[in-house]
Amino acid sequence: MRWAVIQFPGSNCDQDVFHVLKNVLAQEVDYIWHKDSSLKGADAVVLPGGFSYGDYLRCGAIARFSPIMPAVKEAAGQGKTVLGICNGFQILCEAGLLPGVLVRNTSLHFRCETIPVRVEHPSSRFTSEYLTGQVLQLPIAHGEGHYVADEATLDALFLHKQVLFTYSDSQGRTTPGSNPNGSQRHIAGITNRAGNVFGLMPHPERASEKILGSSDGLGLFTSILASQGVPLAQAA
Amino acid sequence: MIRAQVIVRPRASIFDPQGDAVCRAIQHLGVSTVKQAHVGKCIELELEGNDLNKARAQLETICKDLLSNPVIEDYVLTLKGAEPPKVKAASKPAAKKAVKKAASRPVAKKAASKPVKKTKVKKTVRRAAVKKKKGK
Repeated sequence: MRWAVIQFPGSNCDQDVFHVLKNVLAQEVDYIWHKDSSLKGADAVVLPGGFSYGDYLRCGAIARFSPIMPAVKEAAGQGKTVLGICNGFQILCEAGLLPGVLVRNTSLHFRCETIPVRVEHPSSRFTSEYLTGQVLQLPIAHGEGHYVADEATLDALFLHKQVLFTYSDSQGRTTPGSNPNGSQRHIAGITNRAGNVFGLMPHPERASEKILGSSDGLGLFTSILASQGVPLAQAA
Repeated sequence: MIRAQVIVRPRASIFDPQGDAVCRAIQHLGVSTVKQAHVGKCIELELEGNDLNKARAQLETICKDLLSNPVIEDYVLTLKGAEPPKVKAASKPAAKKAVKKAASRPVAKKAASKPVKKTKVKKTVRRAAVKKKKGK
């Protein structure tokens, strides 16, 4: 499977994603500079975390107009896998590929820690390797991760099973104390209606090897591979 | 030249943690009458040309697509055509009188509208400067 990792000026998790895909999962990966207009035939696209364009104006507001974005939208329209992590999630929201928007954390603090994240259901191409209600330990690192959308959109997200990850405590309970940023309904990650575009605030790529303290995030990448029929044996 | 100002502010229905923090800080400083604060952005733009309607149409699109996110923010766009450059001396009260006096005389009027008679203009300016000195 061929992957494209988009590099915006200010991206800083691009190499982490590249490393996991190339060295942990033995995939073909290309860096794609944001000024390119082609994804070089990639089957899946990752918009990595960071601070594209210095987060000026709003997070992701300027990156959404980068020359590569029409190709990303086209890939999304074709049903290809598009994954936005952290700043990538913010860009996907600004670009209109995902509903809602991410605003300043309610606490106003930049939260950088490993927290419990609950898997809502495994019936998606991003979570098939997990179990319903499974609690993952995933790192977060953001100042603007407070997911906001109107009530009708939020209802629709749950109704159509577009919410894949929520913030919870280590027992899988959603309590006010387990919400690190004030996200509405504890939302940590959502897909589009078609289910091929996924954005999440936690960093699965920083939790994909035991040596880094947690490999709970690896399941997200292996789920994508499984959904595309890539045999896991091929993954080293 | 057209000057545009875009005020972007968080929607009333959306909790604004920055505004809340600012409000608390103001109250902490002893001004307890302040009950709400909203923190937004002010974006100032300068445009070529002088067609206000065309500029407004272009900027409305930019406001919706880039400068604000309609999910969480409202914006107010105001446009101003550039004002004609003011004569520096005219902005000072003593000089104003001198210009008014000069304007009542036909020769000085010509000097004001056409900068051809440079010597006369200079004279009025000099007079204004003298008056200003006296005034002080």
